[in-house]
Amino acid sequence: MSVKLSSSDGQEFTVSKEVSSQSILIKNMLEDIGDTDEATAIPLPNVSGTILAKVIEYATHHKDDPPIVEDENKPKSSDDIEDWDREYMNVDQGTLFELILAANYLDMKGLLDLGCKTVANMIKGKSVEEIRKTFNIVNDFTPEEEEQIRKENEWCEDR
Amino acid sequence: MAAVADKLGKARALKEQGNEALKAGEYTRAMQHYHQCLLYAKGMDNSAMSTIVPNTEPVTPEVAQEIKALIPVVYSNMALCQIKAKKFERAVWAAGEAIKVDDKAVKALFRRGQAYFELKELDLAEADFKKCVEIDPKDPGPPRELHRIRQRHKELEAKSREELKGMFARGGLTA
Amino acid sequence: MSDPATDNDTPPPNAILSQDSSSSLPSTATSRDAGAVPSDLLDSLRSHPLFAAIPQRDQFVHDLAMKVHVRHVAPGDTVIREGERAAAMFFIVKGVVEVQSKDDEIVFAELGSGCFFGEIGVVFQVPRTASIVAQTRCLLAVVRADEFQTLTKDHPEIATLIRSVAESRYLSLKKQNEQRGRSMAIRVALLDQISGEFSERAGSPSTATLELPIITSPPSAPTPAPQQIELRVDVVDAEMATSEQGQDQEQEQEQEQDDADSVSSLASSAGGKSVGSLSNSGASETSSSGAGHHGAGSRPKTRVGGLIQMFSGKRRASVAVWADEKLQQLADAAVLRAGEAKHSALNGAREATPDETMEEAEAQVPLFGRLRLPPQVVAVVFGYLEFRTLMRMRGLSKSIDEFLRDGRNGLLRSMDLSAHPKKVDDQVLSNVVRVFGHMVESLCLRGCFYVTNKGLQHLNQAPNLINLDLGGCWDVTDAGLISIGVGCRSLEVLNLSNCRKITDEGVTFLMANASSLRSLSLSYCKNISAASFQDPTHWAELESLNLQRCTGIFDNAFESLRGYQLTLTELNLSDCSFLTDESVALIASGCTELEVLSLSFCCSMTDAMADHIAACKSLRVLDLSFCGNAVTDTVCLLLAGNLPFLERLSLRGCVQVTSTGVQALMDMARSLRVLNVSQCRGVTAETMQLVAQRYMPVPTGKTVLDMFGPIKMRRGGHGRSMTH
Repeated sequence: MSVKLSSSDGQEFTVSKEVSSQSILIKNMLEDIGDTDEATAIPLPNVSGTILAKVIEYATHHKDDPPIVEDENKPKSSDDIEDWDREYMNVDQGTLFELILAANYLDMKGLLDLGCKTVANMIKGKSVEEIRKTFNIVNDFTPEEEEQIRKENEWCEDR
Repeated sequence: MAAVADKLGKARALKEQGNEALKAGEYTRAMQHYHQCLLYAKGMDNSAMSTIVPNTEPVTPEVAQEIKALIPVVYSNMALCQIKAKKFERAVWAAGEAIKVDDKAVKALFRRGQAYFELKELDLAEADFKKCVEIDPKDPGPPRELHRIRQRHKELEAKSREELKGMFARGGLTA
Repeated sequence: MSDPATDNDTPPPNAILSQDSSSSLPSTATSRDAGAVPSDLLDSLRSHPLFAAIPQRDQFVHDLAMKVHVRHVAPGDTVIREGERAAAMFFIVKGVVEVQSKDDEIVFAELGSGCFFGEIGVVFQVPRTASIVAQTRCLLAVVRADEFQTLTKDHPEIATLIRSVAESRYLSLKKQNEQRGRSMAIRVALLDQISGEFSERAGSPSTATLELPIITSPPSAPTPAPQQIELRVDVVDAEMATSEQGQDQEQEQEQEQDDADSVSSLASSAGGKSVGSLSNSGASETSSSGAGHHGAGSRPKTRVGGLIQMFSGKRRASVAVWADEKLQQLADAAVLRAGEAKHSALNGAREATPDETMEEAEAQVPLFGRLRLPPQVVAVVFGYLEFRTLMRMRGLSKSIDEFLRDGRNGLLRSMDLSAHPKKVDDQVLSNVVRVFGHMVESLCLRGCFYVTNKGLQHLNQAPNLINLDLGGCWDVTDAGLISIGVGCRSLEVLNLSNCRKITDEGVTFLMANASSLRSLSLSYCKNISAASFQDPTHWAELESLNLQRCTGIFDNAFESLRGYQLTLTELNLSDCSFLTDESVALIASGCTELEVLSLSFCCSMTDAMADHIAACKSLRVLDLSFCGNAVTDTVCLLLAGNLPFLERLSLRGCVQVTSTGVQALMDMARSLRVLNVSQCRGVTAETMQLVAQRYMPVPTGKTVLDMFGPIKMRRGGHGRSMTH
């Protein structure tokens, strides 16, 4: 049984119920309103067509995944990205952030984690200045404040 | 690309439609409207869209505030709807979502309590009603429900005592 | 005009407060006509000394009363929360509130009826600079921010007065925070600039004083002239005149007495009247809080480094506020930044954006340039970064720094400083705790041997600390343990392995005070002796204890266990070579719930100890490695037959064991999953093979105790006490 999804810019996508249920937001909706009205599309006014297509690509590839069980005691690692996912995430920064926001909106933990891990990996190993450049972050510290934090963080540096 | 005002308007309208359907007793239709309302409302707190996607406006604080208030109300109404439709587990879920956003959503807590009661989860129901009393001590509703729970406990106790008595009589054990 | 001395003591009997004020901030209520204004509210406002000197006082009071909304709060209610958007200001009609820091670590002041609060946020349009928590049932008169603006336009003298109070309170807050090495989360750049002006005005930077109108709590004779405010400073300011301090002491006594009187008179007045919702229940609450408040007056003394200031109507000696040189420097820097002042409230032009940017900051973290993510998403990203990276991220931008320091984001609960131990010293520890102390629950300083007692003193800024690892911090002494015992009241897991300087005194103090402690490691602390264990009640809550290589411990340490039951479930006595069978007997009788036990290398034991071990029916993990004397085939038989839950057993290096003993275990020990018989010369190769096939091996470098990582404790959480 299939579900029709419509993006903010009016593009329509038909996917299986299984794939669409990877989004907990959609899953709950389907559960409550049942299988009525296959013809009517579910509007997703906060996801553009391009991004929705990309999200569906992820959901389709991962539709047979077992549910994610999080072990609170294990430290979270961003080193465990599988190859397909890494390829999938090989996109420009704008798309990356849109995907993260879409995953957050649609409540898709796997995709959200993947996006956040990717961003985390972009941060790791970089100096403060490099991180600022990568993400276009404005430095709103005064020179004194910046110096104070730098001094406080001296011990963190590897050099 | 829908402007922010449009989306907000749509969300408000869908909520009203949901409320109407609920009053008319058309529960599935009400749920449909409520869910659609959430589809518009959620994700609107992302001003990020404006910087990535051209021609999208940023969300002003007033709008953000309204959205923040709207979402738990819609979930709470969903809970009411599900209770009326006798889908008590779904009512628990919907109320829970409202409480996730606003842990003082007293209506949602109340409805979840009611749903738990119907599901025979008396302890969970009691916890929710007690929280209601904490938040709004003046409302007579929760104390009434707590009383109902106590009555139910007594009934259950009496029932199991009866059953035990029966066991002794049947089993031939000297009482 | 009613007599100020008796004003709020005896409200008119028919002052029914009919306003229902169950809503929080009055965003939708409308003003009402004067007839419905509660008369004691009017009286209280009219006689307020703040308004005493202004012209057209009655008109102002009337206008004010028209605009206020009445609100009741219960004790413990948070009326204002630090960091929230400022939407209103409040006058206290009845009751007492406390001004607190967001993490309620510091109490800045107490305010009683007749006082007002919330003005800083409204006047300067910044988020709340502190939290306000009701101490008693309170009746508050609330004025919305925009209504307040209108009001003050018509009465500019009021605006000046209130603003000067706002300024001085802000500066005082700032000073108090800085004395603790805290920086204000909310800064008013404008006031930072003004503070520069203050010091200039006063002339010498070291003795500038602060003048401000007094906010009194009745009954006291209000004086229209501005008075000076007394600060009782626990953190001693070196440049403060000692004579002032002497004066402080005596007047303090009177002060507390007065406050107690005023509150109890409040209580008695509330008691007799049926004043709306402040009826009988209200009376009992206020009177009990009156009593409590009296006690509360003395409460501040027990706060570690706490600072209480009482606003009072009495004349006080002026006190040097700007004595600190660092403050002076900050003030100077602020003056330099004058051109960048973001808040132009002084210019009168009401900027629309400050409120909005603050609101937006709540909704998103302006992270990653112009791209913004909701805070919960940012928290997920940061959750993948290790501690040192997060520390470095603080330097990216102000909003990221604030985000990291906000305990609600769930980050930085666990901090591991042990990656580069040589770089961590007392200063680093102090900085880290100063910024993140309020959030941290688990702190690892393993191997950070430059850390001393001095650094540990700062742990009182980490009140939520649950897990502390000081393994290898060998300069820590008893004084450090005292700091821990006093500052970390929630501590549950403590590792003092290799803190060789600590003695029985420190341990005794710790155990007497750290009532939440469940897991403790004192391994390699050779000064620990039986003296630490004299009082078994101190050890009653402990679940896990590691005394590996505590060579100061002899059998008499366990004497106190005679006739006393402990709930201990894990005990590591490895390498305690002086312990004999006697200890095992005492342990077995006193720790009936023992599940994990190590006696490895306890070479003074004999096979007689096996009878006692066999009595510990709950044993799951047992390490008898290298107890050559004690472990024979008979012992194996005993263990196999008597310990139904035994899962892991090590007989490594037990040279008297032969294949017979091993066979007995294989036949009878139903729960056994791990069996280590390496270096058991008496066991044949075939038997070794059978063992290898049937049981899980112990990884190299691990023991049966720690092979699955840190031992999970009964009541949740991890203990690392078993791994030295």
